[in-house]
Amino acid sequence: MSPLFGDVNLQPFLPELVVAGGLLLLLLLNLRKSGARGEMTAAGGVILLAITAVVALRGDETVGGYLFDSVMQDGVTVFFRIFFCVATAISLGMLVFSFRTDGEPFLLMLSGVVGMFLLAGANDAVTLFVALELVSIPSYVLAGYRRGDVRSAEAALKYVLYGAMSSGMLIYGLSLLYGLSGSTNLLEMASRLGAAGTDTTLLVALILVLAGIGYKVAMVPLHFWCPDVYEGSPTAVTAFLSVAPKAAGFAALLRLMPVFTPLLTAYGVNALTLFMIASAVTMTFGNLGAIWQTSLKRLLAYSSIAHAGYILMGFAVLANNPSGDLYQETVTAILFYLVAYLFMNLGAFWVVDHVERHAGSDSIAHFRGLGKTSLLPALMLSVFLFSLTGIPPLAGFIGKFLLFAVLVKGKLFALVIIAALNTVVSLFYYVRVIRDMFLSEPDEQAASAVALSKAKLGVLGGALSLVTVIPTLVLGLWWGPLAEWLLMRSW
Amino acid sequence: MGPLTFMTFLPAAGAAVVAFLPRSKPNLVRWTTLLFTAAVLAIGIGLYPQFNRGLAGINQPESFQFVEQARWIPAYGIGYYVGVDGLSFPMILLTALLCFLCIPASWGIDRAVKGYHALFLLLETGMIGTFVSLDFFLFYVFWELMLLPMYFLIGIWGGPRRVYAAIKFFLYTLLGSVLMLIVILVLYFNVRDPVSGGHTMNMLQMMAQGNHGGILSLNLVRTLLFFGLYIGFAIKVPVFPFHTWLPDAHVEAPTAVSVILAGILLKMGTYGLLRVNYAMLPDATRHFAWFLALMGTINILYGAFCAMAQKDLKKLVAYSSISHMGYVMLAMSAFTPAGMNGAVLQMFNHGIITAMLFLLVGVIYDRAHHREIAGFGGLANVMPRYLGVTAVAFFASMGLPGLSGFISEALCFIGAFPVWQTLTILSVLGIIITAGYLLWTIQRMFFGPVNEKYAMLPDINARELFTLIPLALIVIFLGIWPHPVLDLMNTSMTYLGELVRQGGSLL
Repeated sequence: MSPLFGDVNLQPFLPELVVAGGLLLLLLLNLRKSGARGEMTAAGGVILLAITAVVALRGDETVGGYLFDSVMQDGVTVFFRIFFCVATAISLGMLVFSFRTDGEPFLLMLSGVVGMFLLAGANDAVTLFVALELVSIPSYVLAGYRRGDVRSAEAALKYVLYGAMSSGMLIYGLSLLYGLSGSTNLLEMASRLGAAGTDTTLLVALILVLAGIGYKVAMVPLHFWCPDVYEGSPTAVTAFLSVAPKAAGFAALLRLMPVFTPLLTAYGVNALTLFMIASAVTMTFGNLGAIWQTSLKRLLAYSSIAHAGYILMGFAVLANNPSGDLYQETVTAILFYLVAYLFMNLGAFWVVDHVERHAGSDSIAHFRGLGKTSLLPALMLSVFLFSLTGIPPLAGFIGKFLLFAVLVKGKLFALVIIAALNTVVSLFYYVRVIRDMFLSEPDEQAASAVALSKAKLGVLGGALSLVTVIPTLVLGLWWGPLAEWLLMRSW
Repeated sequence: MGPLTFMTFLPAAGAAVVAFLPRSKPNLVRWTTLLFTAAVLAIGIGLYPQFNRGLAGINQPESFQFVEQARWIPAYGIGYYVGVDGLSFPMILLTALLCFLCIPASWGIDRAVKGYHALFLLLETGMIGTFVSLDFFLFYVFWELMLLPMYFLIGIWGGPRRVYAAIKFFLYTLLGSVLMLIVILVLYFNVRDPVSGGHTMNMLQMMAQGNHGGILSLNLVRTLLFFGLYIGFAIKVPVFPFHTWLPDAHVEAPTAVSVILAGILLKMGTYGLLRVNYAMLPDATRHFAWFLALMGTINILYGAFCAMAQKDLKKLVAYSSISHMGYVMLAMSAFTPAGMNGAVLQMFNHGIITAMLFLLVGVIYDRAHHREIAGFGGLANVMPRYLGVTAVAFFASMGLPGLSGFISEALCFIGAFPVWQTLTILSVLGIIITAGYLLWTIQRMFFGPVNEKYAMLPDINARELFTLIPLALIVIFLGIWPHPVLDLMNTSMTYLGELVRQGGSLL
């Protein structure tokens, strides 16, 4: 660890610096006029992310607090950095199909990565807020990138308005916390406020911060934006939004849990009850909402709300102040679920994108008879949807299994039963899509069916299929190594 | 790799092979599938003489046979652990036999032949895997693995209301499964492996009552776990009131799938009760034995009365299955040696008999394209050979002496009577009702004036006989000399009954 600038050690920020540097390089390369700027930028971006992931893996050597403890590095930070690299790389690949000649969307997506990296380690109110905005602003632009498309514009506008609102709440809450404690450092805040006694202002501040984060992860009742934004955005962008920024939100929440829990408890608000209700309501609402959808993107939007609810179950266990083993296992379960969710959700959106581009819309009606017109995408989508339901031997099942396990170990039986019933409800709407694909006859005459039967996946499409299907299958059967790797990182 | 691993995964390998065969050669697909199922059956038959009939298994790790153990996910106490005892061995033989015979019975499937056979083989992997698993995680994975192929087999190749029937089946069974998953987790966290000191998914460690700790010492918890598992398994059996998926699934499923559904999948329910509820929670099982007996009696009578009211032949057979699985429930709730043996023998025999019944329904449906009992008449003259085979199956189903159904039903009642007098007396009425609806059906279909529409129906053909004759021979043979199957299970089942009786009670 050689200090570069006086006593400021920049080595732990190497991944951020690599992404930022590479981003500038790609930006310069984009100034060239070329027909295939999209593909070039995507390729460059994927290479950049691969390098970053390797650099990020070395983060284990630089565990600790940096820049006056405003950024914390631990095993979880390392995990999230790699997670964001993978999610973004796959999304970049998907984006190529929509924006072949445009370099900017790729650069915007990459610039979000810097924010997500920082967010995973943020331990300071200001860093947290800046990092969150760094993720949000490129997302707003991406949502509205299809300029001629009214729905895309609507999505972007809604996203900006809701996002601005949530950012406002978050910064207001954080500023109140700063005012009350006199420190912007989260841990410092927690210890000072814990000793300060009770105050209603503090409770308001905590709720505001929680709401700000809740918006990002689409926690009910702060989820309104989610279906509209997911439906209107270009599908590749939707895929990205449903995974990466959401995981970033959970990363921030994970960092905030030690602040929240004791403080809320001090005010007689039971953090456990709060998170249990949030989780149960979020998953139930998401699943019930999904049943009635006719657009597959909207269906997946509601399903992603439900999955946020499942992940929140892990936070309910954390809110109970678990000790040692259980804490580690819970964090592992949350992280494993995110990994499974990354592959199955990106995969599902990838197939939707494929069908949407050839059939002209993402209406579930266009998936009717897909098993006949194009078998491979139909099979893949079935794998992803069954995995999202949580049917073994697929990754989604292991994610659920590990979460259910920590809930049972933490003795939150009511919540685990609600989650189990939710699983059955979710089967109903996921299988509805599978039913349409395999159990219904295609409308042979329809232009969409004709187009689909001629559609080819291509090399890139094949690669995207493999990188999403294989982990979904492998993590269902041979998940021990990943679980152990995560267990080692989540202390 | 040992024989059980081969039996389990050979069909899955077959499914992969079938998937790569050319679409244009359906017969190649059929023969390949037949070859793989034959290989599985051959392994099963090869194991038959080697199986030691004197070893009990159940909760003794050292007396399980053909055991294979491998590391899988050691950090979570999950391993690949398979083996058989007297409870599971007859079941895997039944599975291998029925799966093999179902392929010729599916020869008439001409739509998406590859998909059908690949899914069928996958289903066989799920079923055999469930029976041989001794690790609860592995058990659960196989248990769920059966759902997917079944859903598609009913949903794609089924009858007019197949979509509804398939999703109903899927939702019901998934509900049972997720409840079971929660119970598995509660057991997992409250059982300590005495060797490693950690949590374990090893089913045999979960059976050792000395390993139970934590909240497992609370009677309320044990009761809840018992019923959590009960619901999971009762949906599969199916026990009233969880049975409503069965008639729908059966009526819509293609013939061979009905055979598997009634012949094997229903047995999963009672198998699970015996393997998990009985061996892991013997005290709760003994405490709620009256409940199992009562549900068994309700099943017998309710199923029989419903069968009597059916106009559709296949629905009639479906309800008769519900009734016959009631015998199993009643007998196994007595814990007597006769009852325990009778229960598993009845599972085996019912598997064979009901397979015949569904195949026979398939035969007439393929010719007449409907299954309305009232729509036939005088078939005795039109299809005499069909009548002959049908008579064997029907008489076996109603428990006529000399046929296999008689032995197992007699054992069931003999075993149950000393413990549950009133319920057994009520249940015997089931036999009379069964005889009533089966004889009435024969009369309506085969005797009386010939329906002119069906005067020219061809009699049963060689391919159909190929599937039915072996089953008929087994029915007759086991009716005279049941020992080849009974001896397999006797030690294990007597031991399990004793285990539960000695297992103390909750209160």
